[in-house]
Amino acid sequence: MPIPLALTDFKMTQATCEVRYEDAYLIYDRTGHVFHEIRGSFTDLKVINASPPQTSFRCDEGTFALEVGQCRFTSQKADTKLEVYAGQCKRFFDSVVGNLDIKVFTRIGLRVLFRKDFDDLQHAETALNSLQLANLGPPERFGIASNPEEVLFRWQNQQLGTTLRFKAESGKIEIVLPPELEADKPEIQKSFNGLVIDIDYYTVAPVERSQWDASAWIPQSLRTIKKHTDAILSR
Amino acid sequence: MTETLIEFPKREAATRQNVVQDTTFRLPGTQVGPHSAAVKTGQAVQGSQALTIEIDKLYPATEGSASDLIRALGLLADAIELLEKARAAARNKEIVTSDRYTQRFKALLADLFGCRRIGDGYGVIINSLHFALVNQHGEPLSFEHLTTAWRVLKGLRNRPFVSFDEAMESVGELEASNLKVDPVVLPELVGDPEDE
Repeated sequence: MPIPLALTDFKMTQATCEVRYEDAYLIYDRTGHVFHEIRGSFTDLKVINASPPQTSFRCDEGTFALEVGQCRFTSQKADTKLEVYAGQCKRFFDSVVGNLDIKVFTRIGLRVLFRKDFDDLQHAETALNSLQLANLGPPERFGIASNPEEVLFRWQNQQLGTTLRFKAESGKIEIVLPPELEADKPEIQKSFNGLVIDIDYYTVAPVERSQWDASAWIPQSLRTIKKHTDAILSR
Repeated sequence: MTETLIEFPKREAATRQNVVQDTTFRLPGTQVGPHSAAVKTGQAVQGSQALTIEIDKLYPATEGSASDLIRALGLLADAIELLEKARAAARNKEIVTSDRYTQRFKALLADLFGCRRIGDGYGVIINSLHFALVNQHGEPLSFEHLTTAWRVLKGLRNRPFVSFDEAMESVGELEASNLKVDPVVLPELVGDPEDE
């Protein structure tokens, strides 16, 4: 029996915006400038990993990665329209682009993950199969199962590309508290079962610096993602 | 069943993060190369046959978008079309028809100026076109004027986040075609250096 699903049934659990560029060797001189410039715009910004070609910063809003050929900002607390998130990305990317003297992006990608929780994995798999994304029925495939537990699509042309992945998955988060806290429960565990939609919307053709602005592109791209994903879910 | 051990207080080691790392952001099939990074002018990427992305692909118009940029791209498309028609008429010596299209273009400038939050470069180009028309004092634009304005607007539509310095190059093009792009009162405020 089909399970009606819409993207509004899912919760956005993560957003990542990444830009790639030709190797920018100014990173060896200017990573500190980037950190210094964005420090005032984010809460409790700290360097968590620093090596010459790759540095990571973390703050309450998310995690930044700055590499010789790409940089990205990942947030697990992004707002639903990604407008606030886009402003955060803009501050970071504008600083990187200015300091590393980047003129052209070879790829810009927005990746968002949505999840709908179910009571158990079987329910999540049933929901996935009821979408009938792949026109495959019985018999059992490869001696494993008749239904896939993951379905991945890619659309790509000379300008843009998108991957859309559906997966029924279960997971367990286990947090071990440090002994100095002397907590009654030294471990916290949380299990989840859900259907995950993982969408990566990206450019294929090069993008000039003067064509792109994170605060304009990200919310617009999310609207495109939602529109087309909803059309697939409700077809 | 995936299991992830998280050491307190490392928040980033959440399960979701690990899922992303598993699949990576370097998805197979993504074309990183062979594009050269050297783009200076125009749409062609120097050193390869790759073209920069079409602006309407990068920012597709979607329903419900309140974005200044989407609005500006639509208005700029209209403005470019009007200037094309004005140029065609001017080329055929149909001065009245050409001026009619120019006046319709002029009417769009206020709305275009309303989208100036896009950036300083965008704002200075739209502002310069406004004063260029004001300073004509009713005289119709010549074919050369129209061609320059049309070319500048096409460039702006393809690169709306142009920097202030790059925008000043476009303003320089307008001035080179004998358009007066400064506000009328500016010379009065600054004064004539020869008077001093």
